[in-house]
Amino acid sequence: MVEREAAGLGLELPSELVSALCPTGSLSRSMTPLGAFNIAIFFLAILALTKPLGLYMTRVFEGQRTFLHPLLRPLEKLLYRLCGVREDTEQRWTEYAASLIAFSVASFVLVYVIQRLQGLLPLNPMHFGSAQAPSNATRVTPDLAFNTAASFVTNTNWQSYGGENTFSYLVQMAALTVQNFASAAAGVAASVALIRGLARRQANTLGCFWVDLVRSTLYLFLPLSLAAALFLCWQGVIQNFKPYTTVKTLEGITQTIAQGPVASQEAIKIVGTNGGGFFNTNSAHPFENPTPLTNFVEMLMIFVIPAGLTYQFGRMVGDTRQGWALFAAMSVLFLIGAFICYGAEQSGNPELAQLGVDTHATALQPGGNMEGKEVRFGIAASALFAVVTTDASCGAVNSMHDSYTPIGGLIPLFNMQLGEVVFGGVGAGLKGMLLFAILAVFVAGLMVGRTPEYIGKKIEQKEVKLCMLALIIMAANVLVFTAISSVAGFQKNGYWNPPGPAVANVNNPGPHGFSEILYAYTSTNANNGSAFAGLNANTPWYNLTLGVAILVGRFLFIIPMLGVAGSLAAKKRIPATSGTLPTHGALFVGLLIGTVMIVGALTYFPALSLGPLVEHFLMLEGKLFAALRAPVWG
Amino acid sequence: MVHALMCVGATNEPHSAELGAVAIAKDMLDAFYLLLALVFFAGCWVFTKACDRL
Repeated sequence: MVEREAAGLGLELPSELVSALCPTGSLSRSMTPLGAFNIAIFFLAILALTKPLGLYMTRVFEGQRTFLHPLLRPLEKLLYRLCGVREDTEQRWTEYAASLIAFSVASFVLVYVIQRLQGLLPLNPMHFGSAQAPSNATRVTPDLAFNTAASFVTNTNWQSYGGENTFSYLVQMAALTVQNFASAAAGVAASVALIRGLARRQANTLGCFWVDLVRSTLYLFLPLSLAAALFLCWQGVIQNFKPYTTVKTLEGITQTIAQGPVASQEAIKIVGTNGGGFFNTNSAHPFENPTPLTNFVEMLMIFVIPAGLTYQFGRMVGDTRQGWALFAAMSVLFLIGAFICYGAEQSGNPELAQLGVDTHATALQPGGNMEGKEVRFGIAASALFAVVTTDASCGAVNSMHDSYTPIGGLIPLFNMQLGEVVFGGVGAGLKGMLLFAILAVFVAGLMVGRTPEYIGKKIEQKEVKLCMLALIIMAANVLVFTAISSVAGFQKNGYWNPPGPAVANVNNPGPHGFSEILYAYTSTNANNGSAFAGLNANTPWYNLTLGVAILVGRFLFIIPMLGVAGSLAAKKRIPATSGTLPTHGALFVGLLIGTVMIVGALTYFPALSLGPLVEHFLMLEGKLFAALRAPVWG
Repeated sequence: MVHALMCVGATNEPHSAELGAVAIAKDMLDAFYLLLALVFFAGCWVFTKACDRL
């Protein structure tokens, strides 16, 4: 039974297959065959879904008829009429960016105000934001409202609070869940604009932001999240408006069980790669992710749209091999990360083994490092979720990354530092990978002395400058804020950081504590939103700086990439010659992976050396960095 | 608006402790964070124009 659960699929495998894959007591210390099978079957499922969804998305964004048109087309037209949008209007890239910014400003102000006024608004059975709120409720201060508004408007969903003891049902639905749809749709829209930039010839426009926003919401996110919500309800995820239930446990202790409209938020949280949990423990909570099957489907839903976008890219530029080349590069990076992370977690902590603890996987125990992981998922499905959620810009977690081994924790961190280009978030990953593709052909062009080309477009000074600008801003955003927070001193019990210096908020000393700070700024910059945990981030200093990091990470990346799209759209397509580097073959895939790894390694290696790398070597020497105190949340 | 609502105990802070100078200071915090965001978004537009001219 344990072995079956370890597969993370909730499937009843034949006992002969189980014993063949996992002979009792003889499993490898670093990986079990069923764990590897779990990762492989997940990848095959993504591979199978990429083309059908990519084809569907191509039809949606090219304005062609889909099977949902009879139902949704009248609603789409009505929305255009109500908002005064002309469907045939096209925008220059600067107008497209201005629309995105204007939409984000309005969303930000709305989310901020709803949070601050939640005590006045309905659907608040726990009276959050009023004098009758529970004594352990988190106050929504201006800095927390700023951080949360920035976070949800940008598809980040970093949470400096615990959802169940902070926000009313109305805030969770009208502010946060609405933004889960809107921010994801805006991200996809920006990606589609970039694809159009590569696909169009001598054009001045990239499409219309408002039309792309409406189409991605109506045709993509609504149907998928509706199906996902129904599936989750079937599996046991709750959906109600009840006040929290108070029960007496068998030990006689009073326990409050949070309720709420969870399934609807959970669905778009996953489909839109948002990641903000209804509950503080996110997808580790049994009301959000109750079974191994929901876990598998949630991972699938995180990756399916980003994977489909690669095929859509190939279709729209007129050569599906280009899309598959990006898919191949992403797949290689994904599989490397998944197996390293899983291997590290299954190997566990050697210090425990030296104390005589059996850390081998057997028929009766998962072995390895189970700290911070849910028994119903096991090690493989937890490590895979950690890799998936940080390859994409999702940020949902089903285990606590802070409890991972140093190398196990390094992989999610490095995934985000690479720019989440491995499938990535809805839209974000494709933009990042196209940035690296442009850099890869630029590097190749330098090597052979030819003007670089990509998809028949000459890559010239302006595109390279914009790509480098985006890369440098992203790196500076992480490293500068991490460096400042590692040394910033504040008066104890002052306004900015009541615990004292910024490092006083970490839960562990030494390199692990540094990793907690580095992870926070990496996650917010990448608009991922997952927390390493172990950092009490609900203070004005962290809310402000993490909020700014979120905004910079979103907009100062998208704007240069839209600039690249605008610049490329205006160019004519030149025919390939014998000197053109083919960008659909294995050579280019290798070059692309190399560019991603080298840029990531050069930028972040020093910081990683101070965190998880040195922690790993110290662990091998027998030195661990235990928690200073129990985590204190807001 | 936020200040007015605070004074009737409608927002997150217990109203009795929020009156007077403290409430005004809190109001200014709302203004500070909202203004910061608006300045950032205005900066994004300037950045867009700068990228266009690159």
